[in-house]
Amino acid sequence: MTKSKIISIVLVLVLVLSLSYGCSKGGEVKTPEQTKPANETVEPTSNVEEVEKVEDSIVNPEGVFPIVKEQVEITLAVPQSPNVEDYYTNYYTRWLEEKTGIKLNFVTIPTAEISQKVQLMLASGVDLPDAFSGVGQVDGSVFTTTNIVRYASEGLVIPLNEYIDKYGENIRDFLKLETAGMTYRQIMTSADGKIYYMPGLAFSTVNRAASKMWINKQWLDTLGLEIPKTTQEFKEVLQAFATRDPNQNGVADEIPLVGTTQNDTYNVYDYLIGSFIANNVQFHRLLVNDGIVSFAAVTDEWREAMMYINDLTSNGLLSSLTFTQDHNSLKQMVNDNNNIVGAYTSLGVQGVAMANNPEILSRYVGIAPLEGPNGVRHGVLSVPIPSANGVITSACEHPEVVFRLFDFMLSEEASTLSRFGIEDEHWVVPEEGALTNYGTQATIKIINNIWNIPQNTMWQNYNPYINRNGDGQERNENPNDPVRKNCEAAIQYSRCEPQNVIPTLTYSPDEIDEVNEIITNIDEYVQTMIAKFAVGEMNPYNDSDWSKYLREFEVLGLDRFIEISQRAYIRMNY
Amino acid sequence: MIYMSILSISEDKGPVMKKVKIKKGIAKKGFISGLQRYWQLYIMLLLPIIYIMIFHYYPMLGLQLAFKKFSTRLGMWKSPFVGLYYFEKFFSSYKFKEVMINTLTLSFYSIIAQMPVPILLALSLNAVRSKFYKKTVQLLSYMPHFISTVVIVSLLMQLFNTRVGLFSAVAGFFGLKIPDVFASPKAFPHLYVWSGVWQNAGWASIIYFAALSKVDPELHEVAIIDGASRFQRIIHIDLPTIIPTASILLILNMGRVMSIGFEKAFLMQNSLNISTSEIISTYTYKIGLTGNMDFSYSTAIGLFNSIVNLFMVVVFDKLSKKLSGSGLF
Repeated sequence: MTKSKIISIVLVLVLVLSLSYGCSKGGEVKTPEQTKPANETVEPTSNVEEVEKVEDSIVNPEGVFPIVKEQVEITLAVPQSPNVEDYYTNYYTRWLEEKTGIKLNFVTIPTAEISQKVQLMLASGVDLPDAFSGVGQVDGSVFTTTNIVRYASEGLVIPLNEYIDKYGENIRDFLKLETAGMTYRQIMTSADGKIYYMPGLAFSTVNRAASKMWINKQWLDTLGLEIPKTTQEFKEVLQAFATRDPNQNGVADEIPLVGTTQNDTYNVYDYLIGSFIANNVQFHRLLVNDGIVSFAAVTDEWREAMMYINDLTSNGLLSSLTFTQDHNSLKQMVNDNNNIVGAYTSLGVQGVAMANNPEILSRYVGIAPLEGPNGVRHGVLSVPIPSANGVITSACEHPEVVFRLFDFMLSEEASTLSRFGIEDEHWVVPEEGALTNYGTQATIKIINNIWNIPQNTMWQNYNPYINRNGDGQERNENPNDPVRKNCEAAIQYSRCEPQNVIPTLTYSPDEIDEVNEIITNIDEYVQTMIAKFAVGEMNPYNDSDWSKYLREFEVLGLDRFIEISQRAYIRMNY
Repeated sequence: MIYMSILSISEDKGPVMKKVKIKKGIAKKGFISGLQRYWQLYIMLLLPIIYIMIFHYYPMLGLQLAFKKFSTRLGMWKSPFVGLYYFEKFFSSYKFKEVMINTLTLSFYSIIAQMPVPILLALSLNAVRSKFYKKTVQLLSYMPHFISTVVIVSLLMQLFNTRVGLFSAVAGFFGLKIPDVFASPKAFPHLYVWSGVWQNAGWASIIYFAALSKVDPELHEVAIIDGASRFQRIIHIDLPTIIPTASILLILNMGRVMSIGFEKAFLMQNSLNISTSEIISTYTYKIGLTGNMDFSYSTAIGLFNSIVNLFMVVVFDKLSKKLSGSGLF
């Protein structure tokens, strides 16, 4: 009897104590994963006030390592990846823990339908981790500068501005950088003036030129033609391709120019429009001149571009299959044994031409944007937008600790590790004089690739990072290496980037509610009409067709879209 | 699934009748004594009821989202009520009329075109004597059913490509040129529907085969003695047997007019045929789910579709009862 009584008293005491511990944390709901390890490491429950007192100074000031004075546990939600064997035993994890003094715990999120999964986690509110890491890397639509404001207004994620000023030694430098007339601070700031996420971004020249034109050099040589530099020359070259049998098989089976609309970079017309007006494919064809936002597809220059494309199609130079066929058919044409395609566009030459066939790869060379009749010459610019790779939730007890951890991940050392692995094991510093694909001094040479393969050294960039070595890799000595070809072509495009495009605008949640459908319809309409102008269903030379085309924009709500975009632009810049 | 349920409906008729008789006998003693007597049956019934409650009725609570502005933090029950806002938004959207017409055209066209082919296939194959030939044709005809939509569309695009496609090669051999059917908005419904017929006719004929197997051989023997030709036997014996099945299938298909498959139309779309290929599901995908996740909006559209579907089922059920005497309910 007495024995069992003692046991029950002990049990009751344990229960009461654990309850009081649970309540002492300001009524916040905690997950079992969070509380369990906390019980083991944090000091006894009795001196709660003491813990709160030291909380102010639990994190060391900026630049001082380790980040925390005593061990703190942080739970990160990270995407599951077959290429990361185990987050707990991962080299990157252990390296971070050693450097920062933080103990990391993980909740993994399956990457399929990650956006629903994250929304559910946020909606339920109880299982919130301290922070999300790498979600933006998997799906950019989960946290955008627009919808993250909604989560913030519901008290689910917290703004980082205060921490950026106090602890953000790495991100502050990054935010000052400028691209396409905008600083990264402008790009990342939400409509309410706050920054909610830590970036994941790789600087890369080759990806900035979205549509590169690849032309059949073999044909040019056969016919004794020069690489075309203007739209007029280009048309003449295509005409020669069509009529002078450049593949010398005696059959008129040549397709001078062809693409597919399945993916923007293959559609050919975006590249051609760039010779008439800056073509902002990345952001709904919005342009800005002296602070005034305008829409490119209703201008006279656009009409000229349509006329040019219509000319090419009606003369059989641009194949009308471009507007109907899929990517596979395009590939089939370009890789045809009879060598039948004169030119196509893509982000990288190997997107269409077979990457393991050096004969086909060597056939095509990248040419610069063409100069239009009015001297306009722009490539299709695609500015890399940072993905939301670090988001701190309101369940986080020590946001400043997580913030300093994320900021540390942005450092060159951590970012290189999280992309390329360990120095001397996976990569080495190249010797003096080693060149990159762009002809500059190389900064990194991969000797053992661990990117996109199962490994346990890093998190496959499921973390905040700034990859400064994107352009710094040592080049392949083979001149037909696709990556090398792409980079060499990209140099020509970086010289004629348009200056008046808007890479992105951040709308407020209310604005996006209003404008979302308009944007979708306008984008679709513009694409449809380009196709119709091209194949002659609508005639760009005909004034009544053109004014009919323009009138439809009124119904679509273009004026309202420009008005809201102008407001957003002003908010971002002044 | 649907085929299975139809089979069970038609086969269960016997037992159902018997049950009714039994119930009449115990009706006086009331429900309680029935429960006592047949408790085993009720326990068996419990499992499907629980299943239906949990997986079919409970999720229907989510329909309230159509009338609420959903907030992740507040959840389904506490989100603010906005009435018919999302319905108005949908009805007044720029392309509503166009997508509505396209959806109805495609689905009615599919239903009408897809009905006779499997019946004809089943009737003619049923009349074939050689078992080997019959089985082979049957197998070959329903094989396309198992190809995924993505592959089917890719196949179509390859076949109809005017440069590298099979049809253009054949036509080229005879010195002809085929038009680019994917570029024509007029051709889209035909392409969509008849590729669907090709893919599904064999599979859909299985149900008719099952119905035909129940024809009493004596009827045929008698007809042969009376001097009926094979064709006459098909018209007067086989066809009447499968008409109830056909009408039930038609009613069930009517229940899907609005929820016509998203994938195929989406994959077959391009800038030139968009005026006939944009249907409700592809349009809502574009405006509701890409870029801006709007659960309430998509719920509202889903609810609207379901209401129209239900309406169609009820109307065609009544119609079928009037015309052929057999119906669903």
